[in-house]
Amino acid sequence: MIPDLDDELMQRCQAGDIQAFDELVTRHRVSLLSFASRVVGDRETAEDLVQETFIRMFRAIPRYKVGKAKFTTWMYRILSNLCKNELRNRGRRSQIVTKSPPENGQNDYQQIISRIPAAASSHPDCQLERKELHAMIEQAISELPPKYRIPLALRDIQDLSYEEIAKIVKIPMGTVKSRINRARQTLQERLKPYLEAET
Amino acid sequence: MNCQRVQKALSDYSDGLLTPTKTEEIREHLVSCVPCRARCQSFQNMLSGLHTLPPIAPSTDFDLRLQRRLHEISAERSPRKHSNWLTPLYRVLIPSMVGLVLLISAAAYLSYHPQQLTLPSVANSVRLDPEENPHRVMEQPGQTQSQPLLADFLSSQDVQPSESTNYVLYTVSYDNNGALVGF
Repeated sequence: MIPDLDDELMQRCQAGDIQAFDELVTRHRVSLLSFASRVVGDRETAEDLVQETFIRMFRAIPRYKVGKAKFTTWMYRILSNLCKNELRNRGRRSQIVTKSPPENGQNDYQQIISRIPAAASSHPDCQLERKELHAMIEQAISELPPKYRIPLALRDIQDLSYEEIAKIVKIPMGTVKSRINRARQTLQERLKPYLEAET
Repeated sequence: MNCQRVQKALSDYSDGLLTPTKTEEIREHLVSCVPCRARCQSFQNMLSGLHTLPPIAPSTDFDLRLQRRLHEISAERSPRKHSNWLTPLYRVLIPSMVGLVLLISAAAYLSYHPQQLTLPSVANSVRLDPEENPHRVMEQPGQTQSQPLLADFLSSQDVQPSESTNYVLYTVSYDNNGALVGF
């Protein structure tokens, strides 16, 4: 197996070249942060999780075996697990803090929709701005259950293959496909008025 | 292929995961079914929106914070590296020192208690059961019965040494009160 650039950098790290780790950070920090932000829905927490991912990678340099697994699979597995733990802990915290429904009975997603001018959703000629669509998509993603959210983000935001996602999330490929399918259908259902306005 | 099956297959269709036959069936259906075509278009718009989500750049202090933490870890690792370097030396040194101490102790013990380890040769010793031969050989209190006295002792007991017999001489020591202090 020919080592890719990431593996070469890891080999340099193992040889004591600290500069090589900086290169790894520079190569992956944006994609990791983009993934984590969409999964946890909060940039500050996402930055902490990405930092923790790099710390764990740094600590694991002596144990890293080139060619055993793809570098990005290993890297995303660390971050996915951190995101999963964060969401689980957040769920516990929110259960403890409050169980009261949001004001006027709407969830965040519905509140965002309500702030968009009515014409945007009802008038067929009015195209929703791309930026607004992105905001809607991000909000809709953050409301998916974590078990759908992570595979969807890995596939449609990070553009990873189904095979790699299966290795990262450690579930069979058929399950990955069905979860991504379900996540996409849920998103499409929630964003229906705006997606149709785009056509 | 009906509308429901087409809707379910849209995800795999978009990713090109279907067989050529199924892909063709869906294409044919989309040409003839307006609602499914609209739904497929909406699905493609959503995927396009997902794929074009803007990348998120880290905050300005991201690198600085990370560097600080990495330096802390490196500092933690330094003493460990030092001990790792010494570990092979310790592996040899510690057992050697223990062995040396044991040797010195044994030598010191031997030099202070030589008589207790001077066991006689088996061929020239005599076995005396204390119950059958309640005689105690004692020259002077505090002295030790030893091998040169064996012949005298045997003759005093009217025992003729035989080459076919194995004798064992127990060397014993007594204190001034006649109590056994060494064996």
